[in-house]
Amino acid sequence: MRFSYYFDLEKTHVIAFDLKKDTLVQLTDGRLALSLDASIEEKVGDKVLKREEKSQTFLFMPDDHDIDRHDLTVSRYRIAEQGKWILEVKNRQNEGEVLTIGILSGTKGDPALLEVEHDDGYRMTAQANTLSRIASEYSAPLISQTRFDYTFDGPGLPEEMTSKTATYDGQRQAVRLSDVKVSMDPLDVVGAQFETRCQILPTTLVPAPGTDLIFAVELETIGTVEVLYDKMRFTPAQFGSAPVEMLWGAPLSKDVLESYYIHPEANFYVTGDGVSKLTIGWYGKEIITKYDPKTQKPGGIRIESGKKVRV
Amino acid sequence: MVQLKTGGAYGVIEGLDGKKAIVFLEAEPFAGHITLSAGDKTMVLQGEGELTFEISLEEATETIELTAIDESGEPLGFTTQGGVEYEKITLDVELVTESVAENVPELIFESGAVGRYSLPRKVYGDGGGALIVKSQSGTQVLIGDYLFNGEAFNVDEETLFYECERGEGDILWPIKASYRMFYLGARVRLAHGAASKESVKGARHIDQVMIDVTGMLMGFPYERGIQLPNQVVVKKSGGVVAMKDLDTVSIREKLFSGDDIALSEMANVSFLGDPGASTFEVQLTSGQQMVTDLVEVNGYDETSDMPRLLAYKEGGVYVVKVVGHIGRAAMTMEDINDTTVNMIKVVDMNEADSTFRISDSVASQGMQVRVAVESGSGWSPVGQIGLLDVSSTYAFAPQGIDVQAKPNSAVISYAIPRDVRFAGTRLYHEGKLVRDMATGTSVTITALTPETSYVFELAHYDVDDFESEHINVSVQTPKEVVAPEMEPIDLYFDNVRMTYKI
Repeated sequence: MRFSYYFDLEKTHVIAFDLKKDTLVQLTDGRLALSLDASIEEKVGDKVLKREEKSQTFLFMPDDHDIDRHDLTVSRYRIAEQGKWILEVKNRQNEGEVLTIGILSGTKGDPALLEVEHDDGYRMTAQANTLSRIASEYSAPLISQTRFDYTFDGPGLPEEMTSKTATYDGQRQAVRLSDVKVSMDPLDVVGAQFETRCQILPTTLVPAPGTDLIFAVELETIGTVEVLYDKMRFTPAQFGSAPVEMLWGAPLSKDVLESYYIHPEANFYVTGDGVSKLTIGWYGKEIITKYDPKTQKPGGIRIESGKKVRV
Repeated sequence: MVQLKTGGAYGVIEGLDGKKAIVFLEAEPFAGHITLSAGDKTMVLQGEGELTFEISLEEATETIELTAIDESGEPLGFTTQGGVEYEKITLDVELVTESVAENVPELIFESGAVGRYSLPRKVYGDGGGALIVKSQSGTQVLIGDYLFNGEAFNVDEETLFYECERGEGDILWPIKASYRMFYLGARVRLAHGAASKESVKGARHIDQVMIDVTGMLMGFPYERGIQLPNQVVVKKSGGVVAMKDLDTVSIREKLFSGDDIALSEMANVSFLGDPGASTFEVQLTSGQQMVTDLVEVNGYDETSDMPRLLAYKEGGVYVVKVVGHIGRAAMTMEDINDTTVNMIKVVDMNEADSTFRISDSVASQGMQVRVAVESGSGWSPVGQIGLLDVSSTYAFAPQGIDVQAKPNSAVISYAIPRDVRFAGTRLYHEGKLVRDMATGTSVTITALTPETSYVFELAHYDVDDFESEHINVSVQTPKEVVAPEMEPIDLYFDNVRMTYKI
């Protein structure tokens, strides 16, 4: 089902909540597993300003009376002063199972129209039919906002990315490069937790003699992470701060890296907790250090590789 | 006919004036003239009595020819005392080299006057000797036993002596030896050269004033019959402050021999005076004549630094080095057993040479030398050092030398001696000092060219800045290793997500 809030009568500017059934199966123990795809999107004309989407599976015992009746609470919240629009789907049989997505919209003012659409294949009846202002005891959940999300399914680079050396590897379905820049404005949201994550797999782990750099990731306002043949080093962007180093211990192994490459949780990431903790990870190891969220606001990244002997 | 008297000489002499042909002869009066030919030169003399021919020659010649013609141009012959007649006289000549200064036979000096001397006889040949003496007063021929006493007449005069081989019946005697004797002024100038015109020098050791009158001695107006200076008088503001009698015999000897050092030692005067700057009048007098000069002696500056002194020996000379001093320095030396000062030297020092040198014939190890130096503010306090018979070469030369060479640089390391006097090590290249490593044990040389041979020198030095023997160190730089070509590492890159939570 789809709830569309139009800000104009011409229906050009909309914030839409969408909930679709993905799959519904009965497990061997009799429980039902319902997979839902949820999304919230702000659109002006054809242009999507913001979009968040998430999928979740809800498990519940079937209704004794009606196998097709699934007890979920779907709520829509708007916290006007934060600009947050939240969609929440809760399993009434198990309140621990909650799907929450939201967007931050800069649009001020209240919507002019609401349109509700229903899917043919799956009927949902929204219990809380009206978009209401929050109850005083409601505390808005943290909602994740995506600034940039790109997977290389085919050749070509998104407009935010520039590289002098990128070529597309159809076999791996990844791009192969030795330099890249992802442009992004610094995140000017106070107290936000942030995460920048990507997969980086060097084709060789042995830099040229006399050099020790494999690759370096420069994060705007945060600092530079250098992956060297014997250690990882983070140099904060703040002038005068000392670098932090962490030795790998054993030499880097291509096989280990290849296996990590397959598993997304072990790729390169930098996260900030919005307070003071900065975590940098690659190859299954982490550097945990400090940052100042008031002056260090994550923006774009630049990646450059080191040198190897020309074969 | 020209009647010749006995007592002539002839020869070709090579000396200070170059080569010349000389003939001395005496003839009775005749009308006409005599021509002397030697080489391609001729000279004509007219007259009677003593005749002296001197012709300058470019090349030595082997014969001299004498001819005579009368007034009308007709040839005249010669007759000797013994009645032998000659149409012309042809003489075979051997080149004689003139002796000057050191090679002059012993001259016996009498005290006092300039130019009195005695020459003992030297005999050439069986017939006995003859001596021709030519001086400003004329030419004399002396035959037989002679002990020649003579007198010079002014300071620039010379006397030439020609010793001849006298044979019976010879027309003229061949010259076998030629001597030139200068008199005091000319001789002094010849012996002392540029130093002969220095003026009086003054120096001080606190309240002991030293006056060096060597320059005045050399410039003294030596005249005929004048006594040599025999006294130095020093006056201040009209009153006499010092006097010294001079040993004129020794002085004359030193003046002739060119021994400046000995001369200055004899002619220096020292006396006690007040330590402030003073002007003195110095008089050098022979009793008949007096020369006077003024000398300013800077005062004593007790705040200036004492000179830094080093003592060592080089060959037969004791050296006292006044380290780093440029300017005037004065030393006195006392015998350790005898407190009377027996040597005073005043020397103007420069960067190239700041030493006093004392021959080991007048000094020995242990003698105490006292030195003061002059600066803009005056004379310094007096430093003292004993003469030392030690080499100025530091005994410990670098050992255990190791070279590590790279294409563009090299590290030379070495062991340093366990010696209390060791102060450092220096590196030289092609004679020039490259680096002073002080007490370090290695040196790195950069900016070298690959595949090149270099030779450096290492030397240790001690606390007195004496250097050891220089040890050669060869450095051969290896070939430059070309860096392998490099290219960037490729990265696989995918699944880029940037999110935040709020």
